[in-house]
Amino acid sequence: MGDVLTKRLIACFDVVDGRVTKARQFEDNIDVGPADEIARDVYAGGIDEIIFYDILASAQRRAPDIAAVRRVAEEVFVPFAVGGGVRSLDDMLDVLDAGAEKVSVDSMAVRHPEIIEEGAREFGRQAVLLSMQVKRREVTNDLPSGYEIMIDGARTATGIDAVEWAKRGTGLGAGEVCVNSIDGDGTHAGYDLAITKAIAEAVDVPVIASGGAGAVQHLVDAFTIADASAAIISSLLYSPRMERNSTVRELKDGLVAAGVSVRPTS
Amino acid sequence: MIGIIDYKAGNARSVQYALTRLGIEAQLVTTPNEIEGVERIVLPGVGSARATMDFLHDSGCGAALVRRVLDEGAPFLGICVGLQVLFDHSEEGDVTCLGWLPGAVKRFPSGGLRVPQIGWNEVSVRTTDDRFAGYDEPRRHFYFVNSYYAAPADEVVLAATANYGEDFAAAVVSGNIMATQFHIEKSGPDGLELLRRWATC
Repeated sequence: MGDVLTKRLIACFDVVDGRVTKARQFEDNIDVGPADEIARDVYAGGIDEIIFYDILASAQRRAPDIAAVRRVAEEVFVPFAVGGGVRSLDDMLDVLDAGAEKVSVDSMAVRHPEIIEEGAREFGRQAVLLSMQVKRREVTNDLPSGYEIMIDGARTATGIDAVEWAKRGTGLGAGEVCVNSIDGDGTHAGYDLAITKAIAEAVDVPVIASGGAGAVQHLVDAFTIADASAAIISSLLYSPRMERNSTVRELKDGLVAAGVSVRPTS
Repeated sequence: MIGIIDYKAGNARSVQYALTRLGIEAQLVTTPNEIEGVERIVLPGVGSARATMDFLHDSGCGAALVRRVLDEGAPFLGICVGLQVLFDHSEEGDVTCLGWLPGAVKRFPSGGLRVPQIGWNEVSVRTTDDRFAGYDEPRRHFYFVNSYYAAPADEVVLAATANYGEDFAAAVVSGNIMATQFHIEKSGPDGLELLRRWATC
């Protein structure tokens, strides 16, 4: 599908107690720093968008940490999505009212898909980001894409096929899909291009590649091979596990050199 | 004082944060009385045209806006859906809009490009309005999130255009009215600077 927009680079914050952490395959989170400070840094560096996941909210059965969301929203003047623990339209409104303009739904949407429909009706499709954690499996009749949707921080298997879920979720009203590879998360070995591409071909909304970026070439591949509209680059920017972190400008320079159109950093 | 109309479906808070960052005072307003009490008015929007129009009718804010903006000439800024409802009619929910500017709001054609348009698009300036000075050299990118776009009947209001399969109104200016289809409050330093120019000119 054609794309006239620049490709977006997104910093995705896995937040615990107002602090950004970095995991590997959804485990062993290392502390990186206060979310509002990291937000200020990546905004100044030219990031195109920020996603804030309150990663414990869902398991603790509570709404996302609105005070922490607000502190970040006051620092960044680029698109800002928030997820983790969003269970109702009221939770969505709280998040939007704190300064986000997109709400990410994940486990809750698998259990209660009507939240997608209600959110899209109330706030518009563009406000509903369907985030999905996908795990590579054998191809079977039940999992024709060979990828399964996992929920609850990748701990619970659902038996749902990833491509089918992406189609269903966008049919219900999700305006964007984030495909997060559990196998790739924090490995720096590259995005899972196969499932990203399969979903980008199956839906007509923008798709975000997530999980595994470790080099500029991985971004180029996500955009040109998998047809992603955006890519999450958290590890590249600030993972303590990377030998050397990159700046947004370095990544965008690399993309431009590879012929990928990006918003210039000022 | 700037009043940002807050109808609980929009991005009012983000606009307030952006103005605060610029050192400009702004408050959220929800009633006709409050709209009477501010000097400049922002109508933000991320919801649907119908939801916005329903709010403007039901709350009486629509009539207050007509009085303040059309009769008294208060500086007005519409953002996203806040631009679209200025026109006669929107295909989104088949709703009659404010009709301050002649033209219609249409859906981007499906097929070819992903809808909604979500992302940074390059904008061409068409106006000599000072507030847009320098924004064409080089061309800047602004953040758009929309499935619908305005097609003004009178091109003289087109301050800037962008292309997403079709050329569409990225910004319009008509007298004391300015509106942007892009999210001026979420378009990085270029957006903040344009917002500052609107708020202080």
